[in-house]
Amino acid sequence: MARSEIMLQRTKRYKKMVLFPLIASIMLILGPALLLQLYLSFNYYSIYSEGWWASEWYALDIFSEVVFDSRFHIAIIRSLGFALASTVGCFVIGFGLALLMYKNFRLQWFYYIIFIIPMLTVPIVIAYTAEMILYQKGPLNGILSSIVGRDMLIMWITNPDIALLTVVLMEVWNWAPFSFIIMMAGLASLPKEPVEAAQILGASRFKIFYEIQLPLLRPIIVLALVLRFLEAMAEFPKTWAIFQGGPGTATETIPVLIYLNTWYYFDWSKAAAMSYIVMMMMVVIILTAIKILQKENKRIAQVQAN
Amino acid sequence: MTKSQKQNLDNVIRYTLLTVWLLIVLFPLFWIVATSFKPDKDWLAWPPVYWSEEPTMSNYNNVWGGRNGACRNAICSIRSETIHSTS
Amino acid sequence: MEHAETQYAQSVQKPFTALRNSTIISFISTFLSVSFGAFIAYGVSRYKVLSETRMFQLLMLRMVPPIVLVGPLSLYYTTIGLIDSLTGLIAIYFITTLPYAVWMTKSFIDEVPIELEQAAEIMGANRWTIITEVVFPVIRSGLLATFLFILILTWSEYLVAFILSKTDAVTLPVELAKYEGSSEGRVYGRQAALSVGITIPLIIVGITIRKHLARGFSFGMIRK
Repeated sequence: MARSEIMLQRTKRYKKMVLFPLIASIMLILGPALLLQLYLSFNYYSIYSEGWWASEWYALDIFSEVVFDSRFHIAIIRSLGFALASTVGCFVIGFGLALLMYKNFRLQWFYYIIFIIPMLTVPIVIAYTAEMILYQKGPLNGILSSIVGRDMLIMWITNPDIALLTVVLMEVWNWAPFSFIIMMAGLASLPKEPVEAAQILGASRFKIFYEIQLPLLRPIIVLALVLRFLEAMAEFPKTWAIFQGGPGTATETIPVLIYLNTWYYFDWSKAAAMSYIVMMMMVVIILTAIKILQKENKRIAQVQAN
Repeated sequence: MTKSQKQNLDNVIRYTLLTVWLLIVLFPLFWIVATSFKPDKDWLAWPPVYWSEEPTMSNYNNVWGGRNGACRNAICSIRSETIHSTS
Repeated sequence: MEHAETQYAQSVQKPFTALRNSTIISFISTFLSVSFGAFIAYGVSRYKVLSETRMFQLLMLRMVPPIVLVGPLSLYYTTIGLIDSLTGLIAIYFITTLPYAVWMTKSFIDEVPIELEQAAEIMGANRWTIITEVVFPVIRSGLLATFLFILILTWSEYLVAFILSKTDAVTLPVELAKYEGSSEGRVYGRQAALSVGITIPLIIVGITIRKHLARGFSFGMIRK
């Protein structure tokens, strides 16, 4: 009896000690930022104010201006589309590579090492390198010209219709290894017995994949997709460093638009309102993601128990 | 198709697809390294210069060596001095 | 007048300062993150200090786009004097990487058999000793992998460093951006030389810890 009481006391003490730095840093650094952002979305901070504390009360005007701003709407759609496209792209390639590679073969280690490199590359370096390569008179077009036979002068960067696709391609190159690593681990952790049993029974390879391996992999697939999607929504270096949101507004995703409003148009309040709306949107997406992941986690535990 | 023929075909497809992606991964890495050794005139050439005819250490010298560069300890300055005398 | 001056100062290329800053900021923030993270993870693993929901919420803290907070954060930092400072960047990197540190070290601690700790307890060791001299040495390679992984994250971070630094606390990725708008026009060769220098160490580090990457990314959902 006494022992469990001691355990409980210890737990509480440890908890207090250990969580203190976490909570302290959140309250000292993130808290004020969050509150200030809220403040700015109700009080207009203009370049003529002597400081952010001298902002004028605008009530809901700032929010309503943002809510009805079509440029904001389009940026949200662009971000969602970009995140979706790049997540699917990363997943298809990552999973495809994993499927081709998870069974041991001769040069597996070599391919594995090379394939994880893009994820280890600094994103801003990828951005500037891509800019060099995708230049209209650059190597990518050069290679394409040699393959196709005539001069291919695709304007990867300056054509507004292609620009966002270019960013998607860069993002997929950068992060396909992420899905690749997760799916490799997932495939490797699958129990062999059901697959072998089905093979003995004569099931086709496709059927084995679809009805045995895929369902077991579902939690991991969900994890890979969710994490990548959330990070893709926040992507900044590749869209900003090369395009600055352009040409025109072709690559103006949410982070770019908020950045422009804050530091180019100096419309801090508008950016603050946008940020809050985006935050609420992300919270909804994230809470849904948490619920899905928790459900999948439970599924794994159940399957493990069987 | 016999079993081993099928396995061979599988292997061929597998290696082809993997090698395609391998090249896609390696090309930008190769390009950035190659460009770091290019003298000024090769930076924006068309048709593109894949590996410079006259590779140089001047870019590295400019960025990582010399007085303004990143390494200011003895080893780096010795290296930049020998480079200065040859370029 | 002052605006033009700062603009010029911000564009002067100082790779030495950037290298020094990147090293200091990355190593210190990663060390803090992994240290505190490991202790928190021990608490979660052994004492359930954080519920499962809270753990996921902690992870999602990381998933909020930094852009939504970095604006007011820069104003706040300017007011309290942390703008363009190493300390300021270390602080924000510490907070944003802590979730990863907790999740990754927790999965390693989970695998340490409780019997080891119980044995030490019987021999009279206190909690601190048990953690630092029994548990941590056992998961040494996992801790190292976590450290290196978070190091990669902080070293390559661009947005926050770009906004919260001006001239003194510039990190390597931000420095690279300076070469882009160089007054000499497109200096691709030098950009490339800087890029290679920034990226090669990370690639080598990443390849070294590749066996642990899968563990880190799966956040406990893939059982070995």
